[in-house]
Amino acid sequence: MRWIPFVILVYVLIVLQTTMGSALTFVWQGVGRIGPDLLAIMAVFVALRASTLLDTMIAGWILGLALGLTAVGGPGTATSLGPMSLTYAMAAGLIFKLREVVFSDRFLTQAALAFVFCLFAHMSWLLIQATLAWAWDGVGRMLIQALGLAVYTGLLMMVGFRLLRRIERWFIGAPMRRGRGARGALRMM
Amino acid sequence: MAKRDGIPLQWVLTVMLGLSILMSVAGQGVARPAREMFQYVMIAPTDIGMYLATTFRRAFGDEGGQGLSAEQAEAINLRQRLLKNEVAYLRGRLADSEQRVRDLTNFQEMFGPAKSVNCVLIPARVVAGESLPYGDSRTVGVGERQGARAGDRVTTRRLVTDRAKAMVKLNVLGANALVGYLGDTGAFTAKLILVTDRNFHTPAFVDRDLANARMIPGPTKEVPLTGKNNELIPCTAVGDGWSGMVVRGISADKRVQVGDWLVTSIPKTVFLNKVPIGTVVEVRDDPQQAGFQELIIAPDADLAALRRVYIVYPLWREGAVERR
Repeated sequence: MRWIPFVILVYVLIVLQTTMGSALTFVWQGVGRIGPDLLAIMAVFVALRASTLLDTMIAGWILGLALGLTAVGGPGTATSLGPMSLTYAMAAGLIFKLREVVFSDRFLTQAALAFVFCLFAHMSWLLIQATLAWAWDGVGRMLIQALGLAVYTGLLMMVGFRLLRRIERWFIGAPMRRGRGARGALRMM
Repeated sequence: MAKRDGIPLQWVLTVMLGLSILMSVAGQGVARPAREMFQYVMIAPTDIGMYLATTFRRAFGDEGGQGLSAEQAEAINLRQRLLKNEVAYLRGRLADSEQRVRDLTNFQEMFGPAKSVNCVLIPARVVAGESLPYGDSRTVGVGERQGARAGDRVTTRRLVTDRAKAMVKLNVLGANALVGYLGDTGAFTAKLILVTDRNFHTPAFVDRDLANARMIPGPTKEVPLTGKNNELIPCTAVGDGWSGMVVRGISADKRVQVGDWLVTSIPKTVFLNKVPIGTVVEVRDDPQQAGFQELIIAPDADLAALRRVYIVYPLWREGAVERR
């Protein structure tokens, strides 16, 4: 991974998420606002293209931290900072492991992986935050919001993957190779 | 072992995950200053982004704040007339009213900053939103250095001129609406908790619209609602988490109807009272209390396209004299 360009790209994405992201949200009456998680698209892309699990999890951690720094709302009055980076790193690791058993070049597979990533990362985050703050009021509704967010992000993943593929060489030094190369990379762990 | 420039990546990841756990346990003690510092890094580019986003939402948005219908315009006119009457009433009660009337004859005084009100409006811009949809807050580019403090109320900024701003007691009440209050404040930025956020709650009044004729219980029999018996109904408004507010515990005898207003009720000040918050869009029976009702309130402000706001700086705050 080329970490400096990667961090710059994370910065650009978080700016987009906190500004233009609101333009992409809509209200689901009775549940709440539903919007995409642009950083999850990046995390899934890295998990599908990075050469090692460590790179993937560190990238996931950075993305999760950036998201945690800009997300105050959640269970309780204000959310803690650590859980999002933790769940993002774990979810990125999960997708990295899953990529060997799926055809990751397919649109639907990418969408499904983004869905699984968001579902795992956001639902875990909500449950951890609710436990830390011991505030369970409205958590059920937020879990449904997370489901909506996962579907939305999965749909955008199909476009996001193509866009990120064009600039992949800027932040992923040596993309993953299928077959023995990929296994060799895993052994580097 | 995987290494980058001599640093084992396993160690890096272990430290990172350990940090996550520590930050989780530390809670707001770490989160608040970290978020505040990150806001400084974000503020310049997000300011531009928010301009584009709010312009887009204003053009294509569907969350309130659209143009006024003829009925709404008439309702606002009526409200303006009521407010003017109220201002006249308050003037009569104020001990220094005669002095202020004399001051108004002086041109310079008239167009200078208003000295008769007990708050100052700090203009601010919304520079960022929230990255996830679970909360409903914004970041504003004004912080403690400019006088903002946690808990300060924030209104829309629909006024055009400084002259209008100075005449708070006449213009702000009718022209602007409450959008929320400040949460965490840093030196140069602050978190604005919107009225629709789950954590938002404020004392308020339900103001029944006289244009909607209704009967209310009197001492012996039902009587029509008029200006004399139209008392404000105290309540607490809570954000519903997606697009409005909920008011619970309103007695069914109050006969609140769709179209009535929710206005502010802030202690210690006259001029912050009765700033519009929203309009009643649904009245339903409270499932938890027989004989009581639950009101669903739509905010008056277009929160999706919120860009320019006023932070209400109360002059009764300690040390506020210097600012005046």
